[in-house]
Amino acid sequence: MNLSIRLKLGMHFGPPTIKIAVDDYLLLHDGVAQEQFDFAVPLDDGHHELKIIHYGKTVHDHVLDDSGQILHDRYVAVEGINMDDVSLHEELWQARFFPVYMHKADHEPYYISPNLYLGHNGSWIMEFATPAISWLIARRQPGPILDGTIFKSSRETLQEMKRAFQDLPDV
Amino acid sequence: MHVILTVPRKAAVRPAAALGVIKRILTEQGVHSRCFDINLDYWTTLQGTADPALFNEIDEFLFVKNRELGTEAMQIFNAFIDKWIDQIAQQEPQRLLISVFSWQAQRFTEQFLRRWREHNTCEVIIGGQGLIREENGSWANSPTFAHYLLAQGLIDHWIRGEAETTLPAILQGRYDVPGIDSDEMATRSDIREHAPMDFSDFDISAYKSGIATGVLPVESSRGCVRRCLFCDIPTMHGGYRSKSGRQLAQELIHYYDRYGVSDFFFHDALCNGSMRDFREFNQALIDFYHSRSLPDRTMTYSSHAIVRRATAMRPRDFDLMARAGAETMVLGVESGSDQVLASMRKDFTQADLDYTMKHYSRTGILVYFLMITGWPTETEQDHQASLDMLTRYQKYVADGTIIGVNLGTTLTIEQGTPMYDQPELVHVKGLDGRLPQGPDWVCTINPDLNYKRRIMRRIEIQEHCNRLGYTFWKGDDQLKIMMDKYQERLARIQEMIH
Repeated sequence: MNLSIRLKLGMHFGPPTIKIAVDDYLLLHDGVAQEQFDFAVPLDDGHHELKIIHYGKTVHDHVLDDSGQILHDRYVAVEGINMDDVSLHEELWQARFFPVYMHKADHEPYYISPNLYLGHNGSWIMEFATPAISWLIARRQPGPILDGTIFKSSRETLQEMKRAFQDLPDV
Repeated sequence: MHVILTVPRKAAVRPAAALGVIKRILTEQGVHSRCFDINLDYWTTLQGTADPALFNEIDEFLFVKNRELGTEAMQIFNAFIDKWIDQIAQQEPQRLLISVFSWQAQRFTEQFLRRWREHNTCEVIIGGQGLIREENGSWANSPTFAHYLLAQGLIDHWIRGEAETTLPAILQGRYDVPGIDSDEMATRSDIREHAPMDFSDFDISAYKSGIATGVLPVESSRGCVRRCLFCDIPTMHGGYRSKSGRQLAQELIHYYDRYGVSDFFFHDALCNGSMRDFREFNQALIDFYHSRSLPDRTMTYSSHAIVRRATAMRPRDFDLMARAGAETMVLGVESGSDQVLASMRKDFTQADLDYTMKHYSRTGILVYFLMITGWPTETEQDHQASLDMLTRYQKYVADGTIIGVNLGTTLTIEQGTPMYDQPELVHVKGLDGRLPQGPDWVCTINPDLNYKRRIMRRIEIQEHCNRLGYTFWKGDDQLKIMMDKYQERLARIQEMIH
């Protein structure tokens, strides 16, 4: 599978460091983050997990203003992911980010979703399947619904006609 | 009062352009008229109220030749016709003008007229592509269905070709101009002189277009700039003539202002025959949006389009289309094989199609594929190339660019096409000593490609599309039509044997 990842990086305190892995055994990158990664990932057909791990950030790597808003931050934001040349959209927002809180408050969740902003250290995990294009089509169900219209094409009619034609003599 | 009808069977997705044209001409001539869309009522009232099995029986009766109606379905069908006859008779029409959209409208037309003629004597005139019996073409040497209806006493006249040059003559009591009651086509009009169509009789939002305010048909051109061997459009419509880009844009703006419709379908063969006019059209729409502080794509249009080379259709052209409102382009993709495309004289290659698809995808313009299986010179490798092309383009299904594939009923040879007139161009000959026509042909340099093999390839492509997740269109109708034709041929062979 061809995998392209576009990231936005918060560089004020230096470049963030990340790991990118699939299924926790295919380590695609470990080190300084880049804005663009392109991988050819050898994957068997089936279910998988893409993991982007933000690590190495310290308590000193962000600055808040007087109102508590982030002024400067070391962060990684997922801008876009393409699988086999198809851009992911809603699928990105289904991913979950498991932060490692430095000062965890009671109200802070175990994971954050939808979320594409990796401000904390932690793991952003997106489930997917291969072949990626078939997975996307199955999820998205693109195209109009033609059942009950003059345009319909049913698999039952197709199989019925296929059997019927196979049994007919050549002409 | 003149009554103008459109009849089943066609998709009820928008009003018929023919009715809008005829009403406009009648109004220009000072004749009062009223349009009725029986086809729409067929797909709403009848389909919505009849038992589904009985409706299906009626529906197949209309488009599968060897079907007859059972007693119960016949009663429902006749009651539907009689309801319409009563409604039309109340208008006390001086003339009844019927648009026979295609061969699929012939059975209804005949049944309707048989019952109409029992009690009504007004002049009946028919027109449209359904005057011929050819199923996959728009042209034939003779309008045999019209001849048949006239012989049966069911019609008084027919118009073959354009209404613009025939209907005004009829209104003056002249039936001696080209295109009326003869095999000759009507004189072709100047498309740049056509005023907008008149859809004032229609509830445009009632159609099953999926868009709340409905869709209107528009015509950007007649004829075609290409000469594909299987196509009869140039014979039917003559040389390519297009409206100017500004004129076409003004027509859309007229419909937008008058009917509140913002979605359009060009029902002609292509919208990008003249890139100069096409660019002007797109730019004029964008300028209109700007002049009224409207966003880009306030209006949308869908159309057939040809695949052009990168040198003829630049990336900027796709950008302009997207901003103006291009929604879905219907492309005659035909095959994944360059050998087949060249043999068809499509004037584009797979590389051109790859380029085109890349830019349609980039600009968010949707695409609908028309394909032909069983071209005379199509080898197993060519067939595999079509399967491979669909696999390669699966990404465009996933990203929502390709919204459908229509495979047709395998290659048929129709009158009015270059390959009918010159079958030697693709090495085909007819069966049983006859001229090659319809599916009845064999290719002398590819003799293994018999009708059954062509059908099995078509089925294989449909299965492949299903596996890949393509939305497949009209498969059920087409498979039933092919089975009908196949059994007809088997019956003919058995007759010859006996």
